Amino acid sequence: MYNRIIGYSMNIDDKLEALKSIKQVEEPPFLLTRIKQQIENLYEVEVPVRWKWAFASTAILIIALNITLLVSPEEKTIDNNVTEVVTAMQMTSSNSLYND
Amino acid sequence: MISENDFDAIYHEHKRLVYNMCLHYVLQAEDAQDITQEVFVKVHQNYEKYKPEAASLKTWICQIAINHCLDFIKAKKTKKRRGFLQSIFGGENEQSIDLPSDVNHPGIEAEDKEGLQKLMLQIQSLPEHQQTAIILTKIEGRPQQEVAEIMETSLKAVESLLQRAKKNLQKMIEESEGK
Repeated sequence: MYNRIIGYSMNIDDKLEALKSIKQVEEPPFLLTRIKQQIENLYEVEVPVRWKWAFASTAILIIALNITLLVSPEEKTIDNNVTEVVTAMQMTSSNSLYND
Repeated sequence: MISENDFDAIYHEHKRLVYNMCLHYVLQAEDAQDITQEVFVKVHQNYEKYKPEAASLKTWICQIAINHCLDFIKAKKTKKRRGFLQSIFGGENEQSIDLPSDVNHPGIEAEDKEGLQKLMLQIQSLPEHQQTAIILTKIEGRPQQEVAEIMETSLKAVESLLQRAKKNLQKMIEESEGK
């Protein structure tokens, strides 16, 4: 049942006038906190595209290097001169402290 | 990126405007709260794209809010239609989608609640532009020039929208009264 403001006999302008009786209401509490939390989450999840590309290319480079090393294991022959120097300077990889 | 202090200032200046506008569109306090939240997140994300020479900050925020509300209503109507079709063609196992069509607008007071709620629902069923014209001029009491700016249209177009909206509302009211 309608009341006197939105009565059946009223024309449309009068009815629309009644809309002005709708009051402004306060926004709910903690809305700003919720908004800030949502903004924070958005930026946490979103990693810049440039970073993603940098990470991907670095990973590819490392994998490619590893594969290259595994596929072609060329043994390097140690130069005799180098061996001589190592021996002369006692640069051996021995765990003993003193050369007895 | 916008600084936190600037964003806080924008929020405090426009919070009530946005929340109430959302309420007038969606007629549900919880939905209006969610949309208000989305609106301010969007303001934060797109602040660098805002052009002060094109529109005032208030107009820009209003436009974002209106677009969000209309999208929400559209999605709700689609969901409702799908739910209806499911109820016809779907099996018994299909779950019905719960879409309350009642109004939960804290600004509508008890004295004239029923009539106003019905009128608000009728306004909600108007075409988008007519709905916006009615909400901005009749509920929010904005001047037609400001409404034209928000809607990015001419003053004459707003007047025409209002006339058509009134005509449609009159028709709806007469139909509901069984005239």
